[in-house]
Amino acid sequence: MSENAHTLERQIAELLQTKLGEIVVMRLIRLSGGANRETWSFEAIEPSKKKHSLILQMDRPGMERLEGTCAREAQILTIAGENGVPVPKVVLSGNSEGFNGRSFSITEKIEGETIARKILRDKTWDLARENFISDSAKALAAIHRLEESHFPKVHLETTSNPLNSLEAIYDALDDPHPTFELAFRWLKKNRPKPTGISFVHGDYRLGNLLFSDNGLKAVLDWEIAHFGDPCEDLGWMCVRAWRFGGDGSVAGISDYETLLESYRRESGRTISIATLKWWEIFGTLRWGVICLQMGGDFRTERTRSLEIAAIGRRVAENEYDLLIALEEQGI
Amino acid sequence: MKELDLSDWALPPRTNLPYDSPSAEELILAVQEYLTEEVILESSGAQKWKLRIAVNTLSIALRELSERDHDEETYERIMKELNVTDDKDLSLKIKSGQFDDKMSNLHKKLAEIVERKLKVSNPRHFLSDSDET
Repeated sequence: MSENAHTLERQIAELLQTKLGEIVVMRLIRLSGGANRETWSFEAIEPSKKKHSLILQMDRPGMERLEGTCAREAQILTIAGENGVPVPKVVLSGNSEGFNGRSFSITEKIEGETIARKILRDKTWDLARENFISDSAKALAAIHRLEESHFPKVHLETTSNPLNSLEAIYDALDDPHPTFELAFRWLKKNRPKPTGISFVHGDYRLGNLLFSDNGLKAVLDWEIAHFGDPCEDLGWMCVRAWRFGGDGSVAGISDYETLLESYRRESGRTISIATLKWWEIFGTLRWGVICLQMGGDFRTERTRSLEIAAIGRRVAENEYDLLIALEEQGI
Repeated sequence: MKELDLSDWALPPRTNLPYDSPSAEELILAVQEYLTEEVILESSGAQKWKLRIAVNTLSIALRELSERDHDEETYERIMKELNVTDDKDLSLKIKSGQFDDKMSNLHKKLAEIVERKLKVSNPRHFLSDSDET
């Protein structure tokens, strides 16, 4: 094991002393994380031999400008967990001197699977797939019941006009794509009535959901949670990229009617297929702009990551999906 | 001593004058084969996943090299047909509503370009009921 990992073990043990007492850190393993943070799994062993399986996340150096996303996410997890959303329990979070002031969180490690293609195809997850819509409707209804008053100390953006916000980002990139322009034009002319403003996860889809063999165990990755129209979360999970090759219109698993009926039962909100479709098209455009932006990070040498470079070439998939969707809408 | 038979030593003509063989395409293909037939077999987990992305990225590069000239022509032709100079010009005109009364024609032309782009970047993404080749 490297010197760095030994130092990290010691730092973790020191941090956890106030919570768990004198512990020994074992099996520290680096997991693949997102672009903004590092993720580690480890076991904390108490003197009584009691074992805690835990996850450490910390912001990558240079991410301080994002107002401490790990610690902020930990606050969100705690509040969401207290209000009926399945999430990992937070053990500790904050900014650690030991990690050069970087924001971190330590949460319980939940056993399960997040890899979309496995969940969509392997027999092991038959029951999880069967329960997916009702589990998701419950989780989303719980998320969408949360209001600003639940988060007195967490800074969360309110996106009252997501289409304009997305267009501002797209325009700033100054790399015109006529198909995106056409989609913006259509979306503006066909806006559905707003459903209201609620807490929104912002990235609710396979890949960010952890399953046990009988269903949804935890909703992960709350980095871009904000206040906005709850339909944003519903439409996002219907975007073709998040079907991961599955046949169903919703997450590759189910269909629009089943999702909307189940969501109506859990949340009391009646949403039309036309509205859901608008949000799916919006989500497709949003993912297209994100691909453009990530490809741009490579183009401008902000990153040399091969994965990011490859995502730059996924813009065309979204243009294609948008043109198909707009054709269905009778353009 | 037996005389050496040199009758079949002639090399195929070079395709990339003034350079030597192998050509850029052949080099990419060789790297790709090395990755799929040797390196990937010995790797696992996150590294295997990244290698698959690498192999796939080389496929995009190869397809782009073979389609680029033709697709550029298609692009230029469609820009002319729409009476615009480039993506920027067309985007501005869409934004200001100048295509609002000819959306269906615009859609058709954009689809032609986007299908060329997708054929290069990810041909597996075409819906099965569309006319991909």
